[in-house]
Amino acid sequence: MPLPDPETFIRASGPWTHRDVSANGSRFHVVDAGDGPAVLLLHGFPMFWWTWRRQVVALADAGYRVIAMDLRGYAGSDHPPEGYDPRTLSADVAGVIRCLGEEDAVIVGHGWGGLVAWSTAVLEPDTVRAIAPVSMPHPRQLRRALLRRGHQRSAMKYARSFQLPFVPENRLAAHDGQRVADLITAWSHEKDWLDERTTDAYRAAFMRWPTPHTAVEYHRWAARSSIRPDGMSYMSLMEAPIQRRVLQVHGALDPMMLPSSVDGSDEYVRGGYERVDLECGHFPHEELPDQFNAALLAWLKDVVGT
Amino acid sequence: MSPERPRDALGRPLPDSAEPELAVPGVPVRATLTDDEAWAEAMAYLESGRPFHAHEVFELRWRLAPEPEKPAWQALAQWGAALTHEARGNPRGASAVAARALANLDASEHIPSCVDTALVRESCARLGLLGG
Repeated sequence: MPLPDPETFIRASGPWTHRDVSANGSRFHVVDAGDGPAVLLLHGFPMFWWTWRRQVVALADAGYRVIAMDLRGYAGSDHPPEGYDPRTLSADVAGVIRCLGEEDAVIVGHGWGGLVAWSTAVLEPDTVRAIAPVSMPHPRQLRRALLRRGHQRSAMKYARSFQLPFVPENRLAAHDGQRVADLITAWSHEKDWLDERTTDAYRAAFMRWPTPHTAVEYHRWAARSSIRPDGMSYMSLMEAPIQRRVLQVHGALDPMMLPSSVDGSDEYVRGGYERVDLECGHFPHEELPDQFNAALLAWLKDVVGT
Repeated sequence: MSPERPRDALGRPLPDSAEPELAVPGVPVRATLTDDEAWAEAMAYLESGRPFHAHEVFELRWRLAPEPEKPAWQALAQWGAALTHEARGNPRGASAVAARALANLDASEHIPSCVDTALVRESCARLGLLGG
């Protein structure tokens, strides 16, 4: 069976508006719904905005302006050759928030999107009202877990060949992106949400070249950053205490980003830290959407006071 | 060129004027290094974007290897060199060395079981295309 047209999902119709906004020298595709305090949703690897389809509806219904964005190098956004580092990604996010006429937003980010949320809170604090990183510890805490604990390194062995040129791109793209479906399945605990239409959507969007390459570039930056001056200065900037509220959501059964690797992330937060662990794997918002939405909405209400 | 000459992360000698903190230490020379240790250490270097260091580890194991195992470690050292050329922006060099690595791997009668030969072959074959 050939994969569906990726546009079916990237430009999926629903109770939202598709927009293309220019920010930080690139063009970004966002889905925009509802009115109220702004909440920006950032997907992770190997996904795109569509991973938040249930949250877009639930948050708009609850009185928020929801913006779900395709990150640089993914789906409907530009795929420039460079800029897959947290500083550029944070500037992308801050630019998108301002271009949409908002002063600031609550940023909810999953996986790599969570890393961008943490980074934006430090590097572009004026555009950040609060953050909810999902399945992603504070970047310094993740580095600590990777250095000290073999368990976290083995849990992320999917990325082991990602530093080699060409090979990871070829492997991710082989058999119409079968590996994208395999990784998502392996990282989930609840498998009910993983019907063929859903995994085909992620495969189809990921297979549109050069997404396999640009998605791997995020990993390349992260691994090489430890020995390069830009990475070292990023990590020292990230020592700054975060003066915003943080809701950390994690899957208690996440086999890739281990729950214990998150412990200690609160050390970097001065604005109020809460953590919710749900009985699921790496995708709490997809595996247990009702529980996830309830936890997020309760926290949002407290943060913005609506 | 003395072996103590400071080098960057990709093994290029640094000019005398370079800031000392830019220097990246090389791979320590040892008298013993098992197959498993050599493979794991080289892969850890590759995972952090340091193909030159991976090349040095493979080369060290090559020197220490018994005769029948030398071709495989030589092939791996060449693979590390090809990846280093690629990272330094020298596709023609990468292509030429990758072709030799693949030929040596094919000629190897003893390849240690810890080596992910599928990965090495796939990488060499793709680097081999860079020559144009």
